[in-house]
Amino acid sequence: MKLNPPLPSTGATASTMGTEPRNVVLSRSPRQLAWARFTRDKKTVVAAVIVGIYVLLAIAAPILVALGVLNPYDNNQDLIANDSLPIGAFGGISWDHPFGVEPGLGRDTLSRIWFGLTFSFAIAIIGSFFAMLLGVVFGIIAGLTGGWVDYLIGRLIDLTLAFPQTLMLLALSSTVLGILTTVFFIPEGDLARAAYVILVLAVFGWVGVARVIRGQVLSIREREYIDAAKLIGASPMRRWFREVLPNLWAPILVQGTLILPAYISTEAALAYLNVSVQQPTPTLGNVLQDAVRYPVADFTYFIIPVLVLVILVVAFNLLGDGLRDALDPKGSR
Amino acid sequence: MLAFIIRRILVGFAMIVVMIFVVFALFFANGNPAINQCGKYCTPEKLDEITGLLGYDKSIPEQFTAFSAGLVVGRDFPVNDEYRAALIENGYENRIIHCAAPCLGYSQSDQKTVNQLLVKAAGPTLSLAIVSFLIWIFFGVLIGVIAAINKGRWLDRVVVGSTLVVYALPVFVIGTFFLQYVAIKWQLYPYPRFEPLKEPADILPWLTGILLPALTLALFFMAAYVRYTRAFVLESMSEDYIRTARSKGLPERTVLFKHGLRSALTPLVTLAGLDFASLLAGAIITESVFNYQGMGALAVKANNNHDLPVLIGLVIVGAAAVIVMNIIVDILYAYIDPRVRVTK
Amino acid sequence: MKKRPIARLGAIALAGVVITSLAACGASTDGTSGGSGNAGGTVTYLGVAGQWEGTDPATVYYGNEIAAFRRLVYRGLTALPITDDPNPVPVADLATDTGTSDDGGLTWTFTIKDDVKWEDGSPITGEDFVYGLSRSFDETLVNGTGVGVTYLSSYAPSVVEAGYTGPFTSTDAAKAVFDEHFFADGQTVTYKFDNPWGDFPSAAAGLFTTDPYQASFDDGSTLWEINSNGPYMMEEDEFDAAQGATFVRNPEYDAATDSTDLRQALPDQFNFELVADSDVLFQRLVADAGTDKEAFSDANIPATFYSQVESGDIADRTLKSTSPYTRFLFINSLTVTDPDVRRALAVALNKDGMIQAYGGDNYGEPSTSIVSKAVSGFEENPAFADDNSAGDPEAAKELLGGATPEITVAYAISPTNEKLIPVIQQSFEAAGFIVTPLGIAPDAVPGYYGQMAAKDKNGQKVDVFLGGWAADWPAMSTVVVPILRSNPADAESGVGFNYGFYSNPEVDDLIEQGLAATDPAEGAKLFAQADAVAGADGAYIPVVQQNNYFLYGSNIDGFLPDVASSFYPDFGSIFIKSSK
Repeated sequence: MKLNPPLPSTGATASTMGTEPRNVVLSRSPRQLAWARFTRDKKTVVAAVIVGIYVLLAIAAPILVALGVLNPYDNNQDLIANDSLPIGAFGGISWDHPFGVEPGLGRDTLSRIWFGLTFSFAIAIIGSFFAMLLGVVFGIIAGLTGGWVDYLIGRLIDLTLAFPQTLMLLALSSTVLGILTTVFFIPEGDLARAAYVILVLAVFGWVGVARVIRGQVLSIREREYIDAAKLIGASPMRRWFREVLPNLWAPILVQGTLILPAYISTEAALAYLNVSVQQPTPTLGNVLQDAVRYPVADFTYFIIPVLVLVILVVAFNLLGDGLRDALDPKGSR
Repeated sequence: MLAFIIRRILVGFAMIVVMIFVVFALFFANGNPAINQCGKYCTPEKLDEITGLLGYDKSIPEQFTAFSAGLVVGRDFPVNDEYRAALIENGYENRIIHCAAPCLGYSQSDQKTVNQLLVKAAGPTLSLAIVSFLIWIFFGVLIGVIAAINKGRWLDRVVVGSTLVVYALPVFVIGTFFLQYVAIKWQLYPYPRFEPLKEPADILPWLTGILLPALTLALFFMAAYVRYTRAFVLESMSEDYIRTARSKGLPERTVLFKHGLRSALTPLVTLAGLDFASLLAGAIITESVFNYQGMGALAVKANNNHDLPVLIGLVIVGAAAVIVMNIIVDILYAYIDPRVRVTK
Repeated sequence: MKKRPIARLGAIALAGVVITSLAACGASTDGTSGGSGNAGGTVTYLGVAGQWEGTDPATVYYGNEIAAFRRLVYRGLTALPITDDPNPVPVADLATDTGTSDDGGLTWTFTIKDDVKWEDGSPITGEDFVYGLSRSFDETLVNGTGVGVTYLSSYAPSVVEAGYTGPFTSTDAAKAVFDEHFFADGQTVTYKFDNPWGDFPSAAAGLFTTDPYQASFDDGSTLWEINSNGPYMMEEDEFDAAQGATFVRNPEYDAATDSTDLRQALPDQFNFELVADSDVLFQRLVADAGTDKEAFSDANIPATFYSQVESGDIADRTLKSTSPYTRFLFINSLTVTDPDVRRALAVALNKDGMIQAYGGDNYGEPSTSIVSKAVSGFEENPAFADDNSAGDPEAAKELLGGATPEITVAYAISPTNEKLIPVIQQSFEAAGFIVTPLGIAPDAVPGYYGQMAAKDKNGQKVDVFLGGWAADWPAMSTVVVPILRSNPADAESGVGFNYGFYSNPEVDDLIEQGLAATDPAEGAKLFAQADAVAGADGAYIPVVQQNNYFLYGSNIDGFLPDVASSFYPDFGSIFIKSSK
């Protein structure tokens, strides 16, 4: 099984299905057009708002923890019954603990999920940044140079895709963690584990990005204005940076929006395999890993993190879909 | 065409060789499987002794050479010549294990060749891969086509919306739910347990045992394939030749099934081939939720035991499956779509 | 991910320690031991996948595995009877008697019964016993368990020192030394030890180290094979560590050579079924549907099930008793040298909170010693008896006198331990300690106990670490000696289970006196005294006295966790109720 790949497109939606009147292009800039398409799609706007709220929550969490509003680390064992489950119905939901408390220790579930969001976001964002960086660089090189370089990069992509990824990251975790701590002096513990997850995301994630970017570069290369720039004697460097790069921001943005939720899910899967950041530091993944131990005994505790994750991933993907449709009306995959 | 096939196979072979070396270097750079044999009162001296006994004291290139030779002509275990000589001298030749080519190694902690372990684990993994593949291809394409036909209507919206939710649910959550609620708490379905398929009469128990885990695994792919199919169908239905077919006055149904679907589903062949191949290394999470003793479970166990030979064998078999499938798909594609040969 | 962080490698009870009392154990059972049960049917044993490490007698090591196989397939020289008596005495099994020794335990002689057979029908000979013992010396064969070598090297050190490494690879010189010590003549087997082993018959009953092995069966891939000489035999060629196996009647077994005190062998078949985790296992036992009515498990009911099993009919299918297991915190005496600091740690610890994180009341109660209440001669350790089990940070602060020592707490990463650590951390921090948790990953090399056993803790700073222990034998010596006796001065890793490297001449002296004591009650007193001295010195911090809490199907009877089975349910007495 592979790391969660980004959600595939469902193809062009009604507004962009090849029926777009061509003459509109003449009267408005592509950016205005994209914005118009974006705001016209109600569910994308709703998704954007939800994503915005999530991002704000993730940013606010460390501050609220510092202020003592959120207490992800404090035990409340007085809220735990003799059988180690929370006292009271629905996983001990109360005014003080709106999502209930964790079995055994009585830590506040809301605080753990909320603060976990911050760590999950941080890991996913840094991971996708490196995956995008690698993917964009390799994609541009492959697309621009062509020939044997392109061929080699293509085989490298094939090789990366061939490795059983879950198995590799499981089997290499202790080795790579050792290297991270001894060679790169990353302190043992959460930081090294987070770095390992980020590394895994980047090493296996760049491939998809590189393919998309290579395709984009190839198609841009064929366009008339590049030929025009060549004709008027623009240097190759200038052509790359002035003419090619600006045309890549749309696919980069779309890819980024789609990769991020995939990486948040991947972190959860890694946590399930004990590879991610360990408790007591919360991540969505390790909160979920604990929650799936109580599907029957404490259903509330089980279902809440699942819902938080599902809403997050769905909203991000809706937003990514909307962006793709808005920025790339031909619906290229 | 033949030249294309030959070149493709040669490239694939080269990739497998590179891959084996990478795996070998990665795993042996920092690990010593002998530690698992050293016991609870392990001392450095004792560890050295066992390391030598098992042949892990040799350099990586030496071990790689021995391993590669084993792939071609087979090997005898234990690999230490003196150890083997002592066994023969003491009259215990029957303790020397011959591992026939292509020999992937020997697991000291399981007292079995890696080949034996992989063959044993292949049953559950193959069953899981095949059944879930059939589920996700059949329902994925079916639902995808239905969604495309009903594009923009409520049915389409519901389908597209559900794929988003299913995609967002982690496999271990779906699996836990199926196991703990559907099978055990509500008793809606018999407790899933792998029953090997040895004769035709085993089909029913085999299928009963495998349906829940296969469905767990398939749901994620199904969500993706519904979306792929919908996209491909919509794309192909907007091609010029479809417009031509429409303008000829052919009924929409005929246009779809005669012309649209064929070209829409061609790219799915590539995707499906590779996704299927990627399952052959084992579905680690699904297998561990359901206690299915396939390649994935073998990997988890080998990882906890530092059983490097088994891990290496698993990676090699898994990666080789994908590389081989890549070649098959490429060749298949070249047959289906003659344009490919021109561009490659 | 091993779910058994407890090492069971206790010393076998030393000469002449007789068990005098055993609190709370086996008292509340509805089992029978008179052989009056109903024969026939298939009993399902439910276990957790991946915990078995081998079925070759040389590798079997955990209490529940020894318990199961001793009754079903592997008979030994001697065995302990099925009984709720807390003081069972070994009886003859494959041998005609429990062994004779004229020189105080240096030389032991056994005669093997004439009509006992392997599952292929060939007779069990004295040679088979010598061969079985010789295999216990092979490190690669025993798969890292090494329990046999550990014991043999203390009673027959000259064999180990001669470089004897089992039958397959030893030099002729080493073999000659082995042959001088252990040899057979027809059905007579002789064991000559360098040091007296007074309790050898008990060791033979409690471990598989001296069990017979058929040389012709030994082909290099025996790890998961079973060559039975008991009432059942494995139907499959190999035991599946993930799925289990089926045990059916062994036609070559003759009940006349055996005693119903050891094996009633009532069911016709035992199905060993291993499942993904204990949650699934207990879901099935709670549901009690179909063949699960005839199922039982030796796993403890997880905390998440307590609310479901405590009321109604289902409560009748549970059995709770005091376990021989205790959990405690080791203190690394090499880094935490100040006894006041060690006492402060003990005083500060919130044991109640830890027990709640473990699973609450049913899991266990706060303990006051490393010794379990199930052990004969148990005495509360006065050093810990008055400690507040919820922790007393103020008293700890007083002991520290304003200091704020930095303490690293090591643990094996597991879902349970990750919930314990916050409790430990917060109670230490409340007393002013600066605490750093150190989690050891399940796939770490060496493993958790390997790292903790090392004197330098694998190069890490470790001051306090989680541990647990069960007596191999319900005697004080099997706990106090391995954990508290000083390691040799040059030991790079802890001997026995003294991973804290605790060393106190006064304690050593009391231990030596205890070992030398002729009156068992007096011996137990001396061990208790040693424990008290070590406790006052802050050698360790007791945490919890565990319970056994079993659940079994509604058609199961004869469910008896007894001494012979290390307080796991005895496979020899279990049967299916006749009335449906």
